[in-house]
Amino acid sequence: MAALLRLIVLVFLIEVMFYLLLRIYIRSLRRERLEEIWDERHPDMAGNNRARDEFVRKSMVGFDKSLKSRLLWLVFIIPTLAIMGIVYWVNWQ
Amino acid sequence: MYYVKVVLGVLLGLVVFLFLDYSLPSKNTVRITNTYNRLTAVTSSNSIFYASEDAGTVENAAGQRDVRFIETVRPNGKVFVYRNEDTGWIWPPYFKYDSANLHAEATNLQSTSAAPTWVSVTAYGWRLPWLTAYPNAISIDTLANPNERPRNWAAMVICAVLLILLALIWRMWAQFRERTIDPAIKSVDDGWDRTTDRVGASSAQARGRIGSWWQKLAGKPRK
Repeated sequence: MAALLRLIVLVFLIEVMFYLLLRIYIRSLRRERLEEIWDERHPDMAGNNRARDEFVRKSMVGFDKSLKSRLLWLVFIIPTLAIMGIVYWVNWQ
Repeated sequence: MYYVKVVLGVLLGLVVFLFLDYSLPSKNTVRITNTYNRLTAVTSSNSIFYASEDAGTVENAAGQRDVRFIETVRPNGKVFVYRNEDTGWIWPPYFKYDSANLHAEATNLQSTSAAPTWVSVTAYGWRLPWLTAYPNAISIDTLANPNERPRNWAAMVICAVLLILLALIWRMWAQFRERTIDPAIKSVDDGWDRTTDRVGASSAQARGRIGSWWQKLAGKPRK
């Protein structure tokens, strides 16, 4: 039983780590894309400046509610399902 | 330095290959001839090839375990011995705890060379006679004839997932580098450039002052 608990805690910690890293990653991708959008729309104000920072900040406000951000919860679901699948296929076939 | 890198890279590749070769499942077409339990000494040199002690089997005071074994014969006539042991909940992640059921299945599928029943045994691990190491059987499927070679889907899927993970980590690292590390280096660089410019300018100014003071002393007219 202790081994099972240890597995659950370990898997959960790894999933949390991947969730945080992937969250940083997709937010960074979105910010980069927003900066490119700004530079395309305002060629005169391209580059790193306060107006662009403000635009990116405002555009990122609802990001946690977007589909991409919600799909990130699959990081917790898929590996857990995979482990349950392996347990099933190895032991009940 | 180049050769050091090449040697280290080859060694890393070899370690990764051996690791995957050991822990991924593989399938062999065999005929089961016998199944039994045997007290097996698990010593410090080969304990890495057995399940960790808290998984299923009990170790006695002399460091022996009552391990289940499955003896088989391959279609080419060579013998192969599997062990049948629970893996427990950690490593390798097969989460196997039905070795008693698997043993009953294997015993049921025993056959003679006169009337062979061919089966495909899925197992992981290596047979190393000099270390008394045996691959651990995971599952047994019956086959129609000895030439049948079922595709090893599990290992393929795991390899694909590992490659995808590797690509993902590479992309994440590239993004982190582009957006976080490089700008930080650039800002430090710019700061350093500004500092050296300032120092350069003030030293030129100082030189100018000293020069004019010297010229005054020497009685030359100011420029």
